[in-house]
Amino acid sequence: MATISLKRRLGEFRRIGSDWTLLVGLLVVVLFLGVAIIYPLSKMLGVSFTAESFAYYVRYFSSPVYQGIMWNTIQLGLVVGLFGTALGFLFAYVQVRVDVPFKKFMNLMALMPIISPPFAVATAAIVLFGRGGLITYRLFGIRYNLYGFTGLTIVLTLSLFTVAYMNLQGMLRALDPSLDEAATNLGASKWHVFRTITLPMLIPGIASSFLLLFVEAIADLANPLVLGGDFTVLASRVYIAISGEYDIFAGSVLSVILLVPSLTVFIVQRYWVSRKSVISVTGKPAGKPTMITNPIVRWGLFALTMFFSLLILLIYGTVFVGAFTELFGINYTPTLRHFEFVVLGLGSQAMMDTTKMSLIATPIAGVLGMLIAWLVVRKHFTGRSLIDFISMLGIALPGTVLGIGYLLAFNKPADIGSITLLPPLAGGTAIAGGTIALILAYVVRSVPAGVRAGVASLQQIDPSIEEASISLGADNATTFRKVTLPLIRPAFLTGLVYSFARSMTSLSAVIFLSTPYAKIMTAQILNEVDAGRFGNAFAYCDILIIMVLIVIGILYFVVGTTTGVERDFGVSL
Amino acid sequence: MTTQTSPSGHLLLNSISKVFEQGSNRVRAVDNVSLEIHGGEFITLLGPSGCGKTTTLRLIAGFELPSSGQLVLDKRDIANLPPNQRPMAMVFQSYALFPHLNVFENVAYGLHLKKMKDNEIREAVEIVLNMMNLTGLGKRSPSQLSGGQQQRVALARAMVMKPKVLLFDEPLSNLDAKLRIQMRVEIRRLQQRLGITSIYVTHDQVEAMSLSDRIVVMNKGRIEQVGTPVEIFLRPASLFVADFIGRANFIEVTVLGRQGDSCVVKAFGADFKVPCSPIIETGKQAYLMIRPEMMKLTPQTGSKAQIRSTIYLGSSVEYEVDDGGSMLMAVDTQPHFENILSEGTPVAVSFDPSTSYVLPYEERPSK
Ligand SMILES: Nc1ncnc2c1ncn2[C@@H]1O[C@H](COP(=O)(O)OP(=O)(O)OP(=O)(O)O)[C@@H](O)[C@H]1O
Ligand SMILES: [Mg+2]
Repeated sequence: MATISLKRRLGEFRRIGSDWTLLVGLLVVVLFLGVAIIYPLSKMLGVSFTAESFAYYVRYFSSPVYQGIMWNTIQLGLVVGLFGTALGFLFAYVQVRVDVPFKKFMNLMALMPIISPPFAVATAAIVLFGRGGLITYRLFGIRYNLYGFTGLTIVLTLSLFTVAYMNLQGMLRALDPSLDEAATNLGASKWHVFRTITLPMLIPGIASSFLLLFVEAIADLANPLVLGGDFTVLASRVYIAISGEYDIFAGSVLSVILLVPSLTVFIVQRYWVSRKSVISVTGKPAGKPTMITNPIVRWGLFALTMFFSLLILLIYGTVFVGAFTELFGINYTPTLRHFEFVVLGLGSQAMMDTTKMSLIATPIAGVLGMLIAWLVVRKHFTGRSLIDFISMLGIALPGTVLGIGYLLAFNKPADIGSITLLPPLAGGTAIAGGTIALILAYVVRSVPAGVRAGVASLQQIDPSIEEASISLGADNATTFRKVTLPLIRPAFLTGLVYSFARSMTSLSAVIFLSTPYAKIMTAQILNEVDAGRFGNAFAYCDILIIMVLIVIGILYFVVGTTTGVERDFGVSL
Repeated sequence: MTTQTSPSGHLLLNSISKVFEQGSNRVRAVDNVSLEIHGGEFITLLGPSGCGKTTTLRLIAGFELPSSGQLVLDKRDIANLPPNQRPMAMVFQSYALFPHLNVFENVAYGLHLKKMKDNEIREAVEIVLNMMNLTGLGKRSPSQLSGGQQQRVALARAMVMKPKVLLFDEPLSNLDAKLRIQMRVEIRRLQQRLGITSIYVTHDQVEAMSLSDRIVVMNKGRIEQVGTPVEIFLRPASLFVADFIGRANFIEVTVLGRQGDSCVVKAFGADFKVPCSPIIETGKQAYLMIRPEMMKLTPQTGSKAQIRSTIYLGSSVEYEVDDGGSMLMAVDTQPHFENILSEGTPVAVSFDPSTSYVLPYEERPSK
């Protein structure tokens, strides 16, 4: 038994070895995951499990203040998970099952957060609904205190519900309408059908969305920094420990405490809940779903969805207009001062640096994502599910955790004995002014979206198409380039778009890594918001959004030309 | 393309096994298969679903590695050669055309990889497209073709490579019945003309019979029998083969004696001399296999055998006969208006011994 298994393993190595392209692909991926994820993560864990750090655990778990911070974090995760899922469901349900006008607009509003920089929603919320807010104070005369749990919940829900929306919309579309019809045929009312058929079928999807939102909410750094007030969560506490107190032990220990719920929930979501799903989302609509006809329900849902859509529009409208006014909320004199600062003045370095680094990271992340997806779906080798899992860590790990790992791993050279394996990659004195660590972080954060898109796309493509290519004499690399990549081009495009948007807008993973030679825009936005220069912050946000949109447009133009493959496979963004 | 490829393509499978492991689950998909395939031969792997046909074919193609055994092509062990380096081409059940390439590009794909010159490629592709009745369709995309045309493109794409071995995995199963018969004839014609060794997987016995020089009947990963269609049909090696290829009545008999290739058995109250399996000995229990077409029914008042049901199918009539408790099938392939037997008619049962066969006894697997 053991010998057979050993022989099989040997055969596998022989096979991988004889196909050098597979070998190279695997090596690249393993090296990337090792250097960019495993190594920094293990550094961080190393620091957090030393004798010194033990005292921190004792202190944190016995201190009511820190217990409060932990509870705040969990509470925020739960509430945002709940509200975000509900809002996502509302938008998705209206999109798929209710026949009302302005659905395109609602869809657009629901997708806005993907390209939105952090701070945009929070800052706009402050000038609209804060103490001197346009709506709260100017309109209703209320001096409302937005800072704290309530404000955070609202802003995070509006910023994160997109995940639930896309997830649930896919499921609702994939739901076989003949089930509904069968139930209706048996005499069930619409409400009864919804309660006994639609909802139960969607429960795994709903649970999945909830858990994903939980993970994102507890990892979020930008909003607690701006809107938290006295309400501290683990992510913002980690930031203070590193940036304010320069206490790497505190940062690492708090990171581990944040890591535990994040990773647990992520694993539960990925390996348990999402497997319970009875609906397979193929990207092809399952048929024409039955629409809601009851006018009260229909227009009630419409009003509710429209309210939130308009709220989102108001927020992004404020982000847009705010950049052109002296000080939104107080002085509405039109000005181009803020744009001058960002585009021509002191702020322009961050804009250029971030864009350059994102442009470098995007193709790397795009190709790596497709490569990992291809290896995971198509190639049978021991450890492929481990590769899949580790690549997903890029998004499952809270950004601050990754950031500390990078700080620890790349600020100094990586040595084994006297041999330097890696020179320092992060920090102002590192090669290329620390840009390499930043680009690596961007890639790590972007790869998972590409992998998921690639996996979904590959699973829909008949493997014999690739086998046909091999059978005709092509090796793995040629097959990947000439057959696989053209067929999964829509997923590749999705991966690229996400990568660029993610890189441009990411904060938590890179905020510790920015240097005088490699400034990042999101960190600059934080500075401006902190200093109360909202106009500059809005100008940054506008430029960021516009740049992301331009690059997406270019990507569509370059990569998404017309062969009809997208249509044939029913895969699209 | 009209010139014959060199008469190579001699393939030897030597004790090949393939075990799939999924966690603690082990599936022996191919179990100790040995087989010699001659150059230019058309051989069919036939068997029920899950018997290991596809796995055997994929082992030959190189998409799977054997757990043990050797694979020899023209005296060269190719067991560890990657699939793209094997001089073989595969035709897939799903056609597996490249959806992003047009018909011409699909067929030219492999030739480009061979680094042939563009004008040579164009010529070779034109010839094979003409041969496959696809003239003028080069610019179409696969999605603009009918199922039959797609299948022909898949065939053209494989043929144009002039492989030593052509591999087919149920290539016709997605076509409708009429087209299937048409394509069957075409495949056989082309294969004979080009003389390429062909290995064809199917679970359709009629397809296997009409195409093959020899048929390999598989069951649970093992080879049950290798033989020409006539041998397989009239001289099945086991109950499984007899049952899988066509329909048959099996009557338990005792072998009364052996005379050369024949045995004497008692059936329906008389002694018959019937061809029999070489391993059968006098005095042993055995099965007498009679194909329903070889049964003869004559009306006879007072006979204990009775027609139980009559199904008229136009070109034939199928009868179910109750012979004192045991059920027999009979088919009259030349029915006349007057001699169709109605239900309840008592009949005398007989058969044509020369087209029947005596098989060794085995426990019948419960169905
Ligand atoms: N990749 C695999 N992993 C595990 N088991 C497999 C794999 N491929 C095939 N099997 C198993 O091996 C056995 C033989 O499968 P195979 O596909 O060769 O059958 P087949 O004769 O081609 O059947 P069909 O007529 O249905 O196509 C089956 O039990 C199948 O479940
Ligand atoms: Mg098969």
